[in-house]
Amino acid sequence: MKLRIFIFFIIFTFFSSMFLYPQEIGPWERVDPGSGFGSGSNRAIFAMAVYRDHLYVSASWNSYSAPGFEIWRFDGSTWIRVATGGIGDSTNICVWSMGVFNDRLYIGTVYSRVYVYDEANTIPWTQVNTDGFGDANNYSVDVMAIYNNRLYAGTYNDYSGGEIFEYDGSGWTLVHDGMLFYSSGVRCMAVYNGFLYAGFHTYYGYGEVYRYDNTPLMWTQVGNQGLDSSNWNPSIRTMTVFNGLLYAGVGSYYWGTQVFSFDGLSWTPVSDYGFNIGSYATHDLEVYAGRLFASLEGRYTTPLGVSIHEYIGGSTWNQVNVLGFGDSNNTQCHDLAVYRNKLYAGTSNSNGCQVWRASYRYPVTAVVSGGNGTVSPASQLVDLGDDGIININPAPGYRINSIVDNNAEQTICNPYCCYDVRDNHNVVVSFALAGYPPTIQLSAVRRTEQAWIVKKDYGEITISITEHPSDPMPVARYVLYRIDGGSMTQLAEFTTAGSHSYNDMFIDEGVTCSYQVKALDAAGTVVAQSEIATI
Amino acid sequence: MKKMTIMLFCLILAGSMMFGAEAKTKKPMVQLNGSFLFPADGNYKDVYGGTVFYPGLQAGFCLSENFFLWLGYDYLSKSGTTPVLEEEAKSTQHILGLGCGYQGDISDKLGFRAQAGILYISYKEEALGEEVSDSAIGFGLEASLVLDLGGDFFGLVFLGYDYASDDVEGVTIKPGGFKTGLGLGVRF
Repeated sequence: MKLRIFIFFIIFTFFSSMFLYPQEIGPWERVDPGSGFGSGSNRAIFAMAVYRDHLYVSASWNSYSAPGFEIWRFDGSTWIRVATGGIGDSTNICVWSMGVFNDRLYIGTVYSRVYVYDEANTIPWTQVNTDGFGDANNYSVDVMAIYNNRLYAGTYNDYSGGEIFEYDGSGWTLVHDGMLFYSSGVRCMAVYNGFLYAGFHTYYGYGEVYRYDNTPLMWTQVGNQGLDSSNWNPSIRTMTVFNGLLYAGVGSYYWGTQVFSFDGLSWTPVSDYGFNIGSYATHDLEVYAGRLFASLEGRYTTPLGVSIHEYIGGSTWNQVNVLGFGDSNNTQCHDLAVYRNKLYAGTSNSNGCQVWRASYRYPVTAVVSGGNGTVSPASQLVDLGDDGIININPAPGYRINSIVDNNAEQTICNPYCCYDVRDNHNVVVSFALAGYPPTIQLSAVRRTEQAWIVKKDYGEITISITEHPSDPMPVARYVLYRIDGGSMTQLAEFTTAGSHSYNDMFIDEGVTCSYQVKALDAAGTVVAQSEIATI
Repeated sequence: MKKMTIMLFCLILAGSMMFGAEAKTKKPMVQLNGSFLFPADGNYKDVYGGTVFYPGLQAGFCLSENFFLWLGYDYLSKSGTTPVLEEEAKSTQHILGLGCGYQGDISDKLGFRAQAGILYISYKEEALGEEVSDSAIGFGLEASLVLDLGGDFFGLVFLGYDYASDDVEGVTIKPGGFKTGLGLGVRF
């Protein structure tokens, strides 16, 4: 008895877990055309952006022996390289950031260069600023953001402090001078509650968060001491807005990375140190399918490998990928991006960067209420944004009575389709006896057709089919038969009600013939028939 | 069989008359006709239309200055559709004719001709998945204006009527009808 209870408990737990936690992401699918997009020099993806329904990916190597970055464009199935060799300048070894502004793609590179690209006009890549914004110590543009219809670019400058510049489409304005407060660089930016928030990195110090209300050179500190004075968090690495809160991921030298939430007043840790796997940095936070995801540094974890985590709540995160996507050389994911309803992760890998993607999958279940038919499939997992199709098969003599999807009555159709799935679907189908059968009237008259000399008898058959006006029984076809003795010969087939006529040429003078029309459903069952007419 | 016997008798009679008349005949003649028939049979008209064009050939042999014998062949073939069901139908007729005629002059270039004869009509129809064929005996009347074209050539315009009747499986048919047409011939 105890064994039975135990087995029941195991089975109950298994099935209830399917329904209580039905959503799942994955499996992950690798979509790049080859490690490093075919070049071993492309070891890292530091930035990705969605522009004009394409995913743009930077492929580069932060090394002066690198031949210059490449930019690749993806349409969901095919990759096209749109920039190579650092756009003709091999000193352009890295793209650190991307932003889409006024329907153009901007990239930030080493030497704090900003280039613009217009996919529609296929103009060549054009630099829109002076190197380093006029300051050679601005090493790179690490981050871009859109705020108040302006493009903001944050630089890395561990000599005189990271700076932030505002671009209105024609010129740049300095809005944060690195001398206002010391930092090594701007690591991340996000717009939250009408403010532009910037996260700073400080060598040998603590990461800090400032916000900007559109008053040039006026920044207000909203987070210091690396958001946790008990840990040494020198860098605020990433920020994003999720469910009305600002989330920030930090880099730490002590106990590992953490993620914090901010409500406008205070910061609250929402993860354990290092996510309990010893990761020291959260490189990106991304909202996908209404959930928050984090990509964690995997260079010093044991074992090695980048990990992607989904935020469950409290301080709980679930790892949703195999460590390093099964390759221990995939140690970092600097950018996560959402493109065409899928989550993309670009990795850093000493053998060449990789691109992985996964989709949230929602269970679409279908059940029959009360029998008299079947549905198929009874259960399926549908990728976010895809359609879930359910075939409905009424038993002979029955029709679909109702389709209820997540407690909402739907218009009857077969197959039933859950379009653009973004949630679990529970579809309940009921059947009812098919409606009223059609009325079929048949008349047959023997007539003679006269050519010049030849004359021949034929049967002139007139059929009138009337469906019930409000609740017609579904009929697949109406078949006219000639009855000769005990055999029935099919003469004609009609698929619609109304008036039809048919001339039976194969009758002989003086020989009796009989006719009948039968209405058949989709399964071939006779659901109505006419009287037999004899001539 | 009876119709064939009568036709054979007529051909022998015509042949013996031509042979006997040979000493005093003038030049024999041959002419090619193009005719329009206005069928007398209502069923035929319903299926094949009110006008039928057909070609024909006629040979003549003078018995005297004004009288002549003639032998002719016409071929009719027409397709149509049955009146109610609009099924395809096709009929053919082979018309053999034999008779005598009278010819005279109106002026130096213009003459006239009147002729009558007996007709043997073989007919066939394919329609409604069946085929019926038979033959009938009838007669024909024809009047022509003949124009001398110079040399031995002549042209003519004619008007006539062919009559025949037969009973096929309870259906009375009437091949023939009014006809008119043009001809071109040569005497030799």
